[in-house]
Amino acid sequence: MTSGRLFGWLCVAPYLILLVVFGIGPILYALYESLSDPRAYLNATADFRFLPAVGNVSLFMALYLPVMVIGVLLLALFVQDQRPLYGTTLRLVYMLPGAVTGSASVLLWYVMLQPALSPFAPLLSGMGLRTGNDVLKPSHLVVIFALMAFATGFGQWVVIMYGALQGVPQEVLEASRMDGCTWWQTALRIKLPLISKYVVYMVILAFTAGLQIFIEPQLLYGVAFTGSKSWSLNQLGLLFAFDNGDFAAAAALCLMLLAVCAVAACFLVFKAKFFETEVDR
Amino acid sequence: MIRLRIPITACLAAALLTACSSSTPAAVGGAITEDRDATLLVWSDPTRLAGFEQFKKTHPNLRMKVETYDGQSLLTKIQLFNRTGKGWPDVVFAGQPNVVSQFAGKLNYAQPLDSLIPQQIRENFGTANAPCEVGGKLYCLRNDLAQTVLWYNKPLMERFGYQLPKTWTDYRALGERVAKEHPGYVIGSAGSFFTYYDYFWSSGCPIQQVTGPDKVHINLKDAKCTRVADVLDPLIKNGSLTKAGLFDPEMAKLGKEGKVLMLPGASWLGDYLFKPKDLFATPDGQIAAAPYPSWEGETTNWSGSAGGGVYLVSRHSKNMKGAAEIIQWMTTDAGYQKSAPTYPAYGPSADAWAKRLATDPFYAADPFPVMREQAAKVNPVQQPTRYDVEGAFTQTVVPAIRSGGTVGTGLDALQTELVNLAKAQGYDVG
Repeated sequence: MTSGRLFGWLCVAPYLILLVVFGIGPILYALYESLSDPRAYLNATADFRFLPAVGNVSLFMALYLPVMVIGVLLLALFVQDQRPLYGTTLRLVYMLPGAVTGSASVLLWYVMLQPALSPFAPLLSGMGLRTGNDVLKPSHLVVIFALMAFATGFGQWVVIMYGALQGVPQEVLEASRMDGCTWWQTALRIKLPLISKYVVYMVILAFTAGLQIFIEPQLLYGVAFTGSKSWSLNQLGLLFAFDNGDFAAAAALCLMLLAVCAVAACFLVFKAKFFETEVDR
Repeated sequence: MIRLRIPITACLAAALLTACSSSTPAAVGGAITEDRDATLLVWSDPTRLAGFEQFKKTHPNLRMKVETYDGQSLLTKIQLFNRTGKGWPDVVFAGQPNVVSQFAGKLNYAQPLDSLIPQQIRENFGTANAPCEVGGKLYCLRNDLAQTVLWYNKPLMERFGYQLPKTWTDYRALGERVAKEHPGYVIGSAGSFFTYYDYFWSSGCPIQQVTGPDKVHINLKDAKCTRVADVLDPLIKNGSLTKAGLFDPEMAKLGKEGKVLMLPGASWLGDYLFKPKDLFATPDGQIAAAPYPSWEGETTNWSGSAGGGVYLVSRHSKNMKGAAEIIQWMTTDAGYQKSAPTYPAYGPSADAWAKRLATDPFYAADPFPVMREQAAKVNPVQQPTRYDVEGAFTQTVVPAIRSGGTVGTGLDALQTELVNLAKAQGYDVG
C-alpha cells in the first residue's frame, strides 16, 4: 500500500469505526433478532396498526418532500439574488428556526398552535380554528408535522444550496444573460442542472429523515393527546419491542425501513450518477 | 436532519443492548430472600423521593440507594433488564396500577407479597389493593386512591338555586337547565380520555373486565356503556359539557373565569386542578365534593378511578424482606402519609391525612367524608390489563367528541380498537 492510500484510510477511519459500531453492528444484530422468530416479518406487517402507520408516513412524505425541495431551492435562489443587499441577514433569519429542534421545537409548536396561548391566535381564528381541538385534529397532523419538519430543516439546506449556487461560474451566467435568458430560464436551465448533485443529496437525507419521523408524533401525543402512540412506523417499532415485548417484530420493522431508505438512496445515487467526476466524463 | 435519524439507530441499538441473553431469565424459585448486606435499589418518582429519603434516614440498618426515573419508560427498562438478566430495581413506585398486569404476568417481575406483608396491614387497606391482586395473589401495595367524586362550586350552585344530582339522570337534567338558564357554564369535560375514568368506569361498562388468566370481556354495546353515551351526548351538544379535555388550555380558561359549576372527577382534582394558580386558580371557600351520582338501576353510587400509584417488590431482589419493609413503611407510616399529596390508600393513613383537608381554607366544605365514602365504592368491574385504554379512547371516542360527533358513534370504533389491542397483547377476548 502506498503511503498516500494509507493516509486516505487513516482519514476515513474515524467514520468507519463509528459506522461499524453504531450502524453495521446494530443492523447485523437486528437481522439476527428478526430471524429468531420465523413469523417476525409477518407479525410486523400483519399488525392492525401497520397499514395506518404506513398511510400516515406516506401522506407525510408526499407533502413534506416536495415542499422541502421546492421551498429550499426557491429560497436559495432568492437569497442569492438578494446577496448584495440583505443576503447575509436573510441566511441568518432562515437558520434561526433550525436552532430550535427536536423536543423543544415540538413544545414551541404546541404553544403556537393553541389558540388560548398562541400569539397567532387571530390568524388561526381567521382560518376558522378557535380551539386547540380544532387545530390539533388527527386529520391535520400530517400538515402540522410537515410544517414542523420543514421549519426546523430548511434553514441549513438553504445555506448549503446557496453555497452550491455560488459555485456556478460567473461567465456561464453572463453568457446566458447575453443570450437573453429570463430569471426562470437561468434558474431552471443553467443553475439547477449545475447543482443537481446537491439536490439529490438533499432528497436522500430528507427522504430518510421523513420516513423515520418519530419525535413529533410521539411528543405531540404525550402533550396534546392527539394522534396515537403508533402514528408513525418508528413509533410502532417502539411499541412492538416494549409494549408487546416482541423484539423480533420490532427488528423486522426497523430493517424494512432501512431497506426502503437504502433502495431509494441507491436509485437516486445511480440515476444522478452521483459519484461521477469530471475525469470519468 | 441528523437528529431525525436517531430513532432508527436508537431502535437498533436498543436491540443490540439486549443481545446478551435472548431468553427471559427464569424466575427466582419463589423463596423469600433476606440478605441484609445487599444494597436495595429503589426507583421513585420525584414526589415520593422525600418519603424514601426519610425512610433511609430512620432505618440505617438497611442499605439502600434511591433514584428517580422516567415513569414513561418503566416498561421499556424492565423489558431490557429481563433480556440482559440484571439491573432490576428492588423496589419501584409506579404511577399507574395498570403496570401490575405486565409485571405480575408476562414480564415476571413483581414478587407476590402475601407472606411479606402482615395480614393485619393487608386488611386495613380495605378494597384499595384490588388492582394489585392477580390470580389470588397480592403483587403490589397501593400508595394512593384516585376515586372519583362530584366536585362542585358551592356558592355558584346556591346562587343558581340548583340541587346536587343524585343520579346521572338528574345530572343530565341539570345540564339541560344550565344550557338554557346559564349558557357558558359547564358541568363536566368530555374531550379527553378521562371520560373513561369519570363516566364509563363508574357505569361498569365492560372495557377492562378480566374473566380469567389472559381472558377479557370487552363489549361497548352493553347497556352499561350506551347509557353513558345517552347522558353525555345531549350535554355535549348543548354545551354544558365542554369538548375541551381536562388539562387543555381552554379548560384552564373556563376554570379561571369561574365557569366550572361542577366536575365529576378524581379525588386529586381539588388540589391539582382547581387550586393551582396556573390552572383554575379557584378562590378559597368555593369548591366542595359531593357523593358520586348513581346510574339508572344501580343500588350503589359507584366511582371510577383515575390513577393511584403502587409500590412493587422485585422477585429478583436479594433482600425481599427489606424491600417489603420499605413499601410497608411508605404506605402505612402515619407521620409520612399525613402530609401525602393525594388520598392515602391505607385506611389509617387516610384518617391521619384527613386533618390536612379539614383545616384547608381552600375548600368550602371538608371533602374528606365524601372521598372516604367513595373510596370503598370504586366499581370493581375494571381490572388492570396490558392494553392501553387511554390510547384507545384518545384515538376513537375523543376525536369524535372534539370534532362535534357523538360518543355513541365513537363506541364502535372503540370496540374494534380495544379488541385489536387486547389480541395484540395475547388476550383471548370474549
